[in-house]
Amino acid sequence: MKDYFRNKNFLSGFIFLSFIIFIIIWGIIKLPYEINTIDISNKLADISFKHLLGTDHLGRDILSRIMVGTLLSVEIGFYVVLFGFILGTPIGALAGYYSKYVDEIIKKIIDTLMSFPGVLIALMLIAVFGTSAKNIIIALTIMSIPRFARIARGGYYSYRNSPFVLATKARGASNFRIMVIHIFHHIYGELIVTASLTFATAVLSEAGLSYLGLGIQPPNPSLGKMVSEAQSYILQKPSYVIIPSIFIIILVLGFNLLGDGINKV
Amino acid sequence: MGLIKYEKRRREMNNNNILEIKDFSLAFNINNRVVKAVDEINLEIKKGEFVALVGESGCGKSLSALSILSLIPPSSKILNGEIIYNDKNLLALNIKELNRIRGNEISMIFQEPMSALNPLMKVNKQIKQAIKAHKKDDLNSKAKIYKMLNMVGLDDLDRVYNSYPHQLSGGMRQRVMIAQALINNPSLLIADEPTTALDVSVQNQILQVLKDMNEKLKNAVLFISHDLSLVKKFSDKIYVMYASMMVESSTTKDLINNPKHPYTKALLKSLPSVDKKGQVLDSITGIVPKLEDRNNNMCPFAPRCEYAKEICFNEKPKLEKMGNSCLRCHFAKELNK
Repeated sequence: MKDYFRNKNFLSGFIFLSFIIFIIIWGIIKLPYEINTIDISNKLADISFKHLLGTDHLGRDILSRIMVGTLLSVEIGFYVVLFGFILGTPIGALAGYYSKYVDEIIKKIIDTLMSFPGVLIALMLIAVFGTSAKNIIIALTIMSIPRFARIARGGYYSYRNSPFVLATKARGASNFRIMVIHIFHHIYGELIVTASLTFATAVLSEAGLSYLGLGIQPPNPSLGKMVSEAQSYILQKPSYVIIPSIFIIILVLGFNLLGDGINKV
Repeated sequence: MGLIKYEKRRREMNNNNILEIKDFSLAFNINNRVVKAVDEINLEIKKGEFVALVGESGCGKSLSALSILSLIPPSSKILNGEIIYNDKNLLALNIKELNRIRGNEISMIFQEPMSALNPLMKVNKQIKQAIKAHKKDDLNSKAKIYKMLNMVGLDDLDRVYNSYPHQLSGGMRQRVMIAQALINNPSLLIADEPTTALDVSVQNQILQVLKDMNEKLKNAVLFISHDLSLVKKFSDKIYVMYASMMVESSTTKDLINNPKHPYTKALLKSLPSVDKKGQVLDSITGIVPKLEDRNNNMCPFAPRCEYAKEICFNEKPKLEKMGNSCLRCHFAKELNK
């Protein structure tokens, strides 16, 4: 663990994410204001002790909305990574461990999925099934499965013929056991890095979709939606658009740096 | 029908044989041509016997050993033959039955102790898995492992028990491999060049461990090596392979003192010894044919053989029995009058 904190990337990522976690926990324990209470007389208020990050064009407290929005982004990212991992890793493992036909078929499917722009799939799905957090998670999971599958395939492929796997087979271990215990042990580090990077991508994609109005629907707060609502007021009150953007940056950068750090150590 | 076949096989088989390979051939498909990497080999191992399989690199000895446990590469194909272990044809078993035999009744140690142990798993866990895989009692496994580690000549057991493979030296790792292979008391241990990656002094120690265990635990050993001078000290029986073919087999004494096949003769002649001090060593001219260049309808040794006649290039020699030995040579009788 000491090695990790000596790594600058990991340390800065850790600090960024600690800040995010602090904000989320603060929001869970006590929101400064009700997120959907409109107070027109107090709209576009400046940063003050009353409203730590000011108010938006409807007089809602930005800090409270960011707290809830960040939690939502993190939740979506978490589910996307979780489902992507659960579904993608076994697919990749099968492809890498068993050669020939299984590999060819799965590889082709993965290639097809990866050659699609992810946002396009998301747009398609959302157009068909409508906007909701669940649909965003499904759409982004479909994007993340090939990433995990590809990394897992590479790992299983390179260890499949290694001497210790042969020796383990000669000891009487089943293929299932070799895949789940022996080889997984060697590649889970790479999968954690992938998870971290996928998390960042998922958060960013969610923000992008919400910005386009295809993600979380108002009045629920989401970082991407806040940016898109704020852009009309960019000249009157720049901090309104800058603050949610900074949170997106911190969140994405935090996970990227964390992933890089783990990768290097 | 099955029963008659079974009875017949029983009668045929000498009951002392725990393993019998009969006319086993294994082929690869190279450039759309079927190339035999193992060509009709025959091999018998009796209970508690120390058998050596000797041959040059690429002659198919490792493949033959791997086929016993059905660990052959997926690109290869078994053409014909049987591998019979305790009345069971190992080639006909399904994966579940095989896993019950692997590591339990037949176990194997490999060439590179550096990479044949899982680098991320402690020694004790690896050996415990060998026990657990065959559902043997887990209660006194620690005592069992300590005893086995001690038997293969390791000391400082507490440290070894809790080490990762990279914390041990090459010789120690190979000893751990042997301990792990023998923990379930198998009746056959296949050692695939276990000493190649080790230096000469450790080589002898490891061989001695194998021989000791063979005497103590009464497990048969199939020792694969390319070093005839190494195996002649320990083995009861030697099989010599050349370019996919089993050219000669005999008891060690007979083979060393009275080699019958031209290849074995040449091989023994080229061994360095104290008497030949100062002389130029004999060598066999030419090289082993590459796998894709091998022709299965001739004697593979013919191009390098000093006695070769036309028939050697046109016909594959049949297996002939002469006294204790079996050999494949057209001129077996003429050469050994």
